[in-house]
Amino acid sequence: MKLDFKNTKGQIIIILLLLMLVVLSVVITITQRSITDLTSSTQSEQSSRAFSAAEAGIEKAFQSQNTFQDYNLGNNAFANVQSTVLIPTQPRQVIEYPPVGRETVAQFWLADPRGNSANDYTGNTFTLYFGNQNAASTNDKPAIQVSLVIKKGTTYYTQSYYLDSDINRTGGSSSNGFTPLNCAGGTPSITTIINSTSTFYCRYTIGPITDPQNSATNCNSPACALVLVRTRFLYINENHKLALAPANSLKLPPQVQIVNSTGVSGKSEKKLGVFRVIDVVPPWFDFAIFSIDNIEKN
Amino acid sequence: MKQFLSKFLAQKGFSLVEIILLTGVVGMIILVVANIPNAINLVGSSKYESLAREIAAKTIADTRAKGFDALANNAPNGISINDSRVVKLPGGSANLIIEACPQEICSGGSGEENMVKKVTIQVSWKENSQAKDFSIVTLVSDGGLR
Repeated sequence: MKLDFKNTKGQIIIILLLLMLVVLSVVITITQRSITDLTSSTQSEQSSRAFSAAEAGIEKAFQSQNTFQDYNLGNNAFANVQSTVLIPTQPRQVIEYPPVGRETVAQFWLADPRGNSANDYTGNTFTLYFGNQNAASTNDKPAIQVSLVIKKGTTYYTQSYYLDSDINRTGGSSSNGFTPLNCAGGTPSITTIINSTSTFYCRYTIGPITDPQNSATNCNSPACALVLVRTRFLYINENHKLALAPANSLKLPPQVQIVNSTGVSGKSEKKLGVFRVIDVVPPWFDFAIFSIDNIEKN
Repeated sequence: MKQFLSKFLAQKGFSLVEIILLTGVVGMIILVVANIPNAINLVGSSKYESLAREIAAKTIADTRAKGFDALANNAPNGISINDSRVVKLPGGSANLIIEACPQEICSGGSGEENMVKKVTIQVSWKENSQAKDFSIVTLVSDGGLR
């Protein structure tokens, strides 16, 4: 190859242009990085303030009777809060939990936890809706352990139910002894306190609940009062849906508050939602109620 | 190569275009050099602000975890926050101020002003002899978030 160095006029321009390009790239990169740092720092600051404001809104809603609040916290942050009063307030309202994980206990009050006996549940049946709609296709069919606390006179009793939607686990020599449920027939849908249409994998009605001292007669309030239902999912990998519906035209006692809080600071917005069940029984209680045999406590 | 160099060195003066381009390059270099301290400052400042935010967020989480009953009013001065990261801020200090829920927020009745406290975290530090601070405000209620 023969190089021609005779016609070198204008080469310096190319070199300088390349050099300029490099320098310009460095300038732009550094400037851009500085601006990004500054912007992200400001956004993070606003984001922290907005999150704290959203938390403040939740805290305030727990103590307030107002269902809508919009207030300024100072510090360039404000919160917008929408919350429910304690629900259910109407007959037929179905309590649905946000999806529940394995071994997590979900609790439903059948007697008013605030002691107003006029709100106590008067039925002796209730229906559990549980499992995700796609439980069969994902091969994650739930089993559920249900413990019902009953008060008769001054004595408390528990009745336990073990339900399994996977008949492969309930039959044969290695049966788990649970009650088999055939849930393949359809996916029941219902309106709940958190969804206008909520579809489940399984539905099972418990009851009529019998008198803990005499199984030949039904447990009817007020002499025989249903107090509490505690449930626990078993054999599942994902979180599953869970709801409890009262018998026709009856009302469950108010026990759930749903709060949605939006914290705003500058251009940053943080939304928090809380599903709160009041007066939750402490976890150690389960050691007693999830026992195999019924327990009497005087 | 030798031929090229001798020809290059034999050139007298610079063309107008070369001078303009060179001025441009020098200008860019000056811009870069001028930007570097600013960029370094911004990175440092961002680091301190991040640290301040982390201290404030952890203090709020700790305060909630202690529970409402453990919160005694200490406004206006507050108490110093015991976090080992505060010393990493130049001239740093951090305060936790607890006060009753202000009337403009807790005016709903039902004694909510006694069930809610206003919690302010203030983190201050110095940067290039300038005072900087980050503060965050929230509410903590009886039986509230943990």
